[in-house]
Amino acid sequence: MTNNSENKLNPIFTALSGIDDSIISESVKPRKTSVRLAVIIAAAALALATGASANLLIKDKILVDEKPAFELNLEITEVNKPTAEELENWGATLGENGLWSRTALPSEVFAKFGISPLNTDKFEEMPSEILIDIDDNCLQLKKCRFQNLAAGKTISLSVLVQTGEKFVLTTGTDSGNTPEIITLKNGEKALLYKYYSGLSGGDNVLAKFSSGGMYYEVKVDNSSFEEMEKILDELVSN
Amino acid sequence: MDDGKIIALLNERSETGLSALKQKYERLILKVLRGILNSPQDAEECANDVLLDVWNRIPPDEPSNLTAYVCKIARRRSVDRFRYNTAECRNQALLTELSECIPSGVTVEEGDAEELSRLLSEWLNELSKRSRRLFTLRYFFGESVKTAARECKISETAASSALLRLRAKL
Repeated sequence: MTNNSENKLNPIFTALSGIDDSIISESVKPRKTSVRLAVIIAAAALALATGASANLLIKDKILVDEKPAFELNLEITEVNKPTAEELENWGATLGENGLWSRTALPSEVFAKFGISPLNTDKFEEMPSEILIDIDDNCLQLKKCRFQNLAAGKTISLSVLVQTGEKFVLTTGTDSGNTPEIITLKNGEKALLYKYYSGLSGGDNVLAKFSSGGMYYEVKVDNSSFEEMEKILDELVSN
Repeated sequence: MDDGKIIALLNERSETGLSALKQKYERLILKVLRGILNSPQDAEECANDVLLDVWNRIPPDEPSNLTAYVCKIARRRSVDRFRYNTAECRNQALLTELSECIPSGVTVEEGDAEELSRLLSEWLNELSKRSRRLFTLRYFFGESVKTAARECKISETAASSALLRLRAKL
């Protein structure tokens, strides 16, 4: 039996009715695929059947506060999504933050999920605790570490793969920073910004960009835009 | 019909807009209501009230996110029904769980409730997407732990543990 007098005093229960719209929307299961997208997916299935590329090119515009914006070229990509049990058996653990993690080389994690991001020929991969965020519409692998042989710098790479029809990517940047948009060797745009880090004791540079249909963030400690641009060009080169 | 068209029709006081709203959102409204209320009749009655509320509020309201707008009205309706009528909360465990998050006997004034909603939003936005969704499915929509776990693609045990940790953190 409900104790109404007690329950109506629970302020969290009632205050939840006023939480942000975005939080509510995020939890509402998407309605059936729209006709337009269904047609695109049908076309993709046909393309797959005929041996053509099944990737769907969908453009999603990123607005970074009121600062310069550019379009990301994202593609819905099929990945392996292991079950929780499979992840546990693989040695991953579910943290309090809701993310899975496993200490591994980036290539081990990429292989597990069946993705092949960027060209890392000029980089030496390093074992690190890689964070794994999986949901219906995306897979994100965070803190993959590589050593850039030319610059002698460690880079931290995050890759987001759009796996479902509902685009989940939103982004922003600290308003105090001055972002710069550059064009990479492969023609894609990248947003770079710099911020002071007490941890590294200098300026870290973060880059956000898409390449090959996936979204990436690359962080290099104690770096410059020029150095980051060279690193990114190596990562996106064929 | 897309949300913009529904809102435009509601602004014109067109009953077609109301029909479209009902067709598109009735299931979601009932889902929210049934998450909180025990009686199907209560949920059915409240669903009509929610549709009427939306009809009465638009205009002047101009929601930028109709889905969230409708969900909020539905949840407030269900909480009101739960609070003032004799309807029982469907899921007593949900309230027991939330009672762990706040000292016994604490009440919140109307103005403070808005502040608490804001703080809850801030806190939720700092969580991972999966944790945020799990918490919202359980405590906003009143889903069972099993259903919330399934929607988040984790085991029921993992969901229970995660919710326990989230409540402790909250």
